[in-house]
Amino acid sequence: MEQYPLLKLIEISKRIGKHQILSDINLEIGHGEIVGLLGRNGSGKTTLIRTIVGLVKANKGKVIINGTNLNSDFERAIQHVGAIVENPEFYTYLTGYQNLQQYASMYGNISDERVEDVIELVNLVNAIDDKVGTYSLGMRQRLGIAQAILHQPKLLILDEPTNGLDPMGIREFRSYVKTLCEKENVSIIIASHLLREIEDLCDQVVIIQSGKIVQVKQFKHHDVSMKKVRFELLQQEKARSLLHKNGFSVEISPNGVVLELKKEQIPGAIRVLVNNGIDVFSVNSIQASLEDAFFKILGETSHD
Amino acid sequence: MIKLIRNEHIKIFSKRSNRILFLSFGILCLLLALIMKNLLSSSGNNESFIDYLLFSTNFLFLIQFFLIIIAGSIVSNEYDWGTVKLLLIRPARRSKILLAKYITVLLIGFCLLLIYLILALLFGMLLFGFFDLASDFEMINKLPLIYLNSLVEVGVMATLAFSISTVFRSSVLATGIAISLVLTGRTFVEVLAHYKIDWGRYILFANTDLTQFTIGNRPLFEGMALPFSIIILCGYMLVFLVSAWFVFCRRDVTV
Repeated sequence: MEQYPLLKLIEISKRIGKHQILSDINLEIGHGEIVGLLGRNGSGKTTLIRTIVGLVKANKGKVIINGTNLNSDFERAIQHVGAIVENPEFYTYLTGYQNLQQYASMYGNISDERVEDVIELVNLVNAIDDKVGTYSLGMRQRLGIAQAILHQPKLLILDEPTNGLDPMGIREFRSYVKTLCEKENVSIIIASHLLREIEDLCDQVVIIQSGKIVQVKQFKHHDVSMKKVRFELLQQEKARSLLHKNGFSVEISPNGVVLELKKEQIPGAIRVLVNNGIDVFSVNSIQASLEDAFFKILGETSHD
Repeated sequence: MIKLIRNEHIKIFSKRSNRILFLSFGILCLLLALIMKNLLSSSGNNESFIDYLLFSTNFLFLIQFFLIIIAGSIVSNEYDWGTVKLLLIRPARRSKILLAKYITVLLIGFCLLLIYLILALLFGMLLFGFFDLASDFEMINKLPLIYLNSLVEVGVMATLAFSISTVFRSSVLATGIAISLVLTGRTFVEVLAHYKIDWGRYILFANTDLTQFTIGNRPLFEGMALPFSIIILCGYMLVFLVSAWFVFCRRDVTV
């Protein structure tokens, strides 16, 4: 339906002094996609985000938002974007409402009702007339989300969005992000250290290391993909050969074996074991596929 | 644009330290009038409020200090607070945002002058009498010129503080440099003029006082004229503003 990808990064490079912060970043994000951005501190993650919102100008390359080049028509391109860049910082001597008003007035078509709706959505109705200086970190984070979605952007960029939220807040945030994405077809970029967070929310994850995209991983068909499952049992050797004979890929692990299989194959594997007199004490799926990828990549590159 | 300027006003006038600043400005005006009244009544002179109005113009330079504090922090505060990140990701180009801030500074400078005039008039009428008004009224036509000149002076110094604040992102540096220049600049060029060191005429402070070209006054350096000073002032303003805009619009925001 839409002609352009929502966000297109073409060969973005950024050098500050002698340091090459970003080199030749190419990325495309479609409408309604949730993309996770993973990387260690200093990997160029934040610089990349700042480049997308125009706070940092790339030495080379283009940022194209909804078909508009950010550098040549900043005002048109940026109105599709809402963002939290690192900690949401506000005018602490103004109330939450006054802070939102500051930003709302810069778009020109945001009604008072919309502002009220957003306040309700982020659950700040009771505190909105207090000075932001009195807010807790979690409240500021929610006000940050409010200012980012005021103008119903097509692209939402969230840098460490759950920082400072309590478990309840994180859960609300997660369900809210999913709703936004499904109902309003908003694309979202989430930069986070929390791997679980990204794995749960995102369709796609981009891992960046030393200013380069080292891996793009799709999560779209999460359930049909192969996953690692650990079976806790005693006769490891016997189990291994049995399972191997039945066509499973098996590795021996402490106190059991690890299989790589699809979800629907798990009952079959258990049957094979039990029918041959091997007691299975527990079956755990090793959910750390993303973590594995993350640490593997970091491990490989941190040696040089 | 008007919305941007309105936003800047809200940010300035909601801040408690700024409110105290403006309040102390009003108190200063009152104190000035009270002290004058005290001095004059002890010497037995009868002065009219128009005399006071003229006398009060000697302290117009005080406005510079107040405006420098505002101008020197309007940009750097956004960096200090980190709010610049949220400000610059809106559909308004950076040059526009900076312009809104600059216009805000000039408007506040204009208002301060106006308030100063009104307070001088008010306190003058309350504390001083209405004697000899006929003769005083002749002197009052000097007043617009003095205020106009002060407007230029205040504007130039605010621009200096504004651009330092924008380029170096430090309000301390901006207010510090601007205030110390206000305090020393004039004396410095007077010393240069005294020793007839001719390049002194190109220094900003030799040209900020435009009343030196009015009848009855002598220019600081021989051969200086109004057009010369205006050109020099414009040159300085251009340097201040171009450097502020150039740096603000191009700099990466990494706070």
